[in-house]
Amino acid sequence: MKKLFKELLDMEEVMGLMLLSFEGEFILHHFQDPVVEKPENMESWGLFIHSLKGAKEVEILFQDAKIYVKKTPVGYLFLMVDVSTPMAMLRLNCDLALPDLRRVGKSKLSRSLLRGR
Amino acid sequence: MKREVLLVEDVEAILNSIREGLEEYQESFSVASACNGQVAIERLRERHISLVVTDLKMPEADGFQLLSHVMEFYPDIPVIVMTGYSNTEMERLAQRGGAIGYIAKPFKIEDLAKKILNALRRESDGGKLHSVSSGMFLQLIEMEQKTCTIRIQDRSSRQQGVLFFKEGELMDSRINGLKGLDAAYTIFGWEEVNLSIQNSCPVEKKKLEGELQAILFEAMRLKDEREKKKKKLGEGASGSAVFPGRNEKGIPDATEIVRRKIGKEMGTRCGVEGIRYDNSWDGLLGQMRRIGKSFNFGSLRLVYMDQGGTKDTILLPTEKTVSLFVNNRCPRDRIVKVLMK
Repeated sequence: MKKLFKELLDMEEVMGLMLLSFEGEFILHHFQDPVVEKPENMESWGLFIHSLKGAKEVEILFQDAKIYVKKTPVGYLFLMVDVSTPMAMLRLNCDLALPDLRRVGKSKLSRSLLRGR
Repeated sequence: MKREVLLVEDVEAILNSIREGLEEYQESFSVASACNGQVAIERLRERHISLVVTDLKMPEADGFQLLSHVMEFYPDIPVIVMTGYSNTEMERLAQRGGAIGYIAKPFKIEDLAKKILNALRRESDGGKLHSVSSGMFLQLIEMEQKTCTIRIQDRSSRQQGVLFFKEGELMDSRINGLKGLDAAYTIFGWEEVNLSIQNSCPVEKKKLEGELQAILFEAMRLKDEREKKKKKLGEGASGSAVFPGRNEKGIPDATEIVRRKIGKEMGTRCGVEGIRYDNSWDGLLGQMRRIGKSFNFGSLRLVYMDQGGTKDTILLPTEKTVSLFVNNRCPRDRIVKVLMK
């Protein structure tokens, strides 16, 4: 499953990736380094996704990192990246990954998630 | 009402000569000058300009760029174009760009003055009023469903502003470079005003949210708040308005700082269509802050949102959330970089 996002995860600056359904359920997540708090426990993701009001793309810039949020056919993709990440390249890699994601579909992703999260 | 004409010309000798020539008309208008389009844009932001006379070929921003900036941000300000490269194509382009007049160099000062005076006269083709209550008068405009541009001056602070009405509906407002609700709140806080009415409105699309009545009430509330604060600071309530874009201590507010920063770093082609305070995103920003805290990402600095429409939104979580609306001409990564500085 990670193959799908290989290009993205291979980017040096990408620290982690999460794919959530439009209802806020986790489809998959992967972090290069262990995170202190489980992302599932961090926030009401359903509420957060609802608050995005269907936005196509969101860049959230913090002091030490960025989160790039992209709407996909199956839900929202979250990429946690270094503050110096070239966003144009990241957006491009995301756009390249999306057609594959569309092909794999939500059900297969869910199965893969249950097997290997 | 004091009128000021902005003269834009890159050749110093010509600039000085026209300036001197126009001194004869100082009873009707004063003259401010700029040596190129970029400086002119700064002047427009700082001063209340009634009309622009500009050369076309200049370094930095040229006359066409300036013309398009004026049409976009100051649609009430007429522009007269002057150029040494006189040909019909140039004239056609200038008029298509929104210039109301065209004068070929060399010209007689009185010919230019005549064009300026004619244009300024149109500012009050619907009449002039002195010492009126702004609230009462503006409600009358709404009731009568008038289409007009109102140039308004506060009698106590001498500040000037412009209000745009289409069929009684307030479309937009501005004080120098300050636009939209921020400008409307300041103008509606003025009690006794002089005003002139022009029977046309160049603003086609409503840029202000809310009904006139609601804006009037909010302006009164803000004014009361300012006066209370002043009392608390021991300065007494003088009733004078806060200078637009500045707080009570004279420090530029966040929207003004952002506007200046973008203007300085990106110039006119930044694609920014509006900057204002907007607390409607505060819930979402709160959630983002919590997410950032959980990941140890530090403080939230900026959010860029593409909602799939023609305009994107940039949110700056300052003390009060500042939102910027940008169109598809906006260089996304560049503006983010500028704002993050």
